[in-house]
Amino acid sequence: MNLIRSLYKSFNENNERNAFCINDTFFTYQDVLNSITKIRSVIVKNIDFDEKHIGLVTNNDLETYATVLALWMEGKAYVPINSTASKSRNIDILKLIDVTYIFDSSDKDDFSDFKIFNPNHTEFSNNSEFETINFNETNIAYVLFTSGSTGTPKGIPISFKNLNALVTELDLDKEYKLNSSDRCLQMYDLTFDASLTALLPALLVGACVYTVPSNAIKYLYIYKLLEKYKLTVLKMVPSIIYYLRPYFSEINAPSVRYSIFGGEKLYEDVVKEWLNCIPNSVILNHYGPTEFTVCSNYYKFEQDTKSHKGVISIGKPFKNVDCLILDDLGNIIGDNIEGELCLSGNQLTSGYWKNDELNASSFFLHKTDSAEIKRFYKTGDLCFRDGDGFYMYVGRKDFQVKIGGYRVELGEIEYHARNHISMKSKNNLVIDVKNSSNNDELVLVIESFKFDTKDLMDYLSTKLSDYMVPKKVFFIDNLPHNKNGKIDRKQLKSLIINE
Amino acid sequence: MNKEEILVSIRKSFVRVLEHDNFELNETTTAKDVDGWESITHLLIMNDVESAFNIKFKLMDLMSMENVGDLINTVMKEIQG
Repeated sequence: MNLIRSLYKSFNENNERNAFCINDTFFTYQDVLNSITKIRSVIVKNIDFDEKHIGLVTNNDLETYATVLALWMEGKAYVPINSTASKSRNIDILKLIDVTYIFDSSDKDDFSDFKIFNPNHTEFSNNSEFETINFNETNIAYVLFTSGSTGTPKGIPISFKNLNALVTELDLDKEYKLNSSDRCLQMYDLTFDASLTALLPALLVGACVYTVPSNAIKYLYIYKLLEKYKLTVLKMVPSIIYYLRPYFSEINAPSVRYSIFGGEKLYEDVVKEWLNCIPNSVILNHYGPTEFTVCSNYYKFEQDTKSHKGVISIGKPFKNVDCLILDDLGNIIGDNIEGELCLSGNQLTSGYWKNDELNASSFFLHKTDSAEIKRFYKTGDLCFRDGDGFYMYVGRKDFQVKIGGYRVELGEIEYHARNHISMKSKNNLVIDVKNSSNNDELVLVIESFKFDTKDLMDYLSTKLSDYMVPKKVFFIDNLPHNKNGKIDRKQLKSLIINE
Repeated sequence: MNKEEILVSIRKSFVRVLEHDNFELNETTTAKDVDGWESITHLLIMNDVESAFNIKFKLMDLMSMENVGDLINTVMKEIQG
């Protein structure tokens, strides 16, 4: 499938239908097209053809979504920037990728080093000439940044070839067919790639997308949308239902046809209870790293569930995706043995942005059974395949955790904590523990006598995204070590939980 | 129990969950006014308030609470049965 042309076709065919519901206001596909046309005229008039990477502040409005599509139609990539994230981190990201121009539909003045276009205030020229669609599969569609253990976020460029491969796979999936009557939830910030699997399948069929403001208490806002608009398709991070679980008895949503999860472990017991709230729905568990364009595997939930230690299977790979499981020495291992999941296919990124060292360690060539040499990505996820070909997620190989679906390298937080003046000569580490809602929460452990950490936490807020700033601090006189001399994280976790 | 007494108890829940007391709490206070009161801590605060008063909020009540005044009124409604 050619994503851009298919989107353009859908927008023209469905122009009278509603495309978005944002803050209770509806916008038709024609409204979006009009906005796209205006923004394209700004791009053509002001931005050189060779300027390919454009910053986009991810506001919850029509202009922001239209800017994504306008940039794509002009052969440019968006680099999403969340204005509530640390300013210095945002600027580091934009500079790393040599961004000159930023689209920001808000009136904030956060990026004075860059040339800003506000689609709401910019003078639009109606007679700009542009090609119908300036499309090339090798163009980058977006660059996302995820947490990096060295303190610097990692840039992941995704091309239209990658995106086309994703939407083609979703289109092949007979279990998942949306139509123009669907009302689809979009709860993700655009810095999170799951936003694409919430948006694109809906927009490709002329369905309506219902967005969630970034400052909303998400699980409550989603419930409000569900009640008010009788949503039919819910793509969510599992933590939403973990928060809603105490209130399941009050939720009755027979309108829901698809409930899709992704981004975190999905627990079987909660899903079985959730199914009572959405009795007519299919439940799908999507799995995939950002490096592999959102999704590589999925599992359709059935009563006779495939799961491992209560965590629902990530299912089988898409038709054109190759999966391998490797041991620590890089050998392929057989079924039911745990190892690192590696992925290959057209959804695979060309590599981390300007990071040869990481690319050398994360990607490798492998001759497959069909004697083809293919490029694989080491996900860092420990998995095994059962005898029926279903993949089971076990955990991480490294110190990466998921907070609300976002990838967080604990090392990035520890790096910035070490740099604060109050932490001189003090050991620290960050641990993820379950809070009372069974969601992961970050705790900064400091080997020291107690001291006031307000300055430290304020400093971390300037360096890290909100979700990365630890919610608690735990002081300990001496960090526990295991017999290999490593810090005993398990013991620390139990000390924190039992505090 | 009057509104002032409920507010005192609610404030204790905020301090327990947020682990600081660097905030003013009155009927017009919203999440914007209290450091750390956000999506995740909101539910933890609500759970703590439920335990403190031995009540259970309805999801619909939680959804329509816009400030501490709404929270106090909901607690009053629940404890009065």
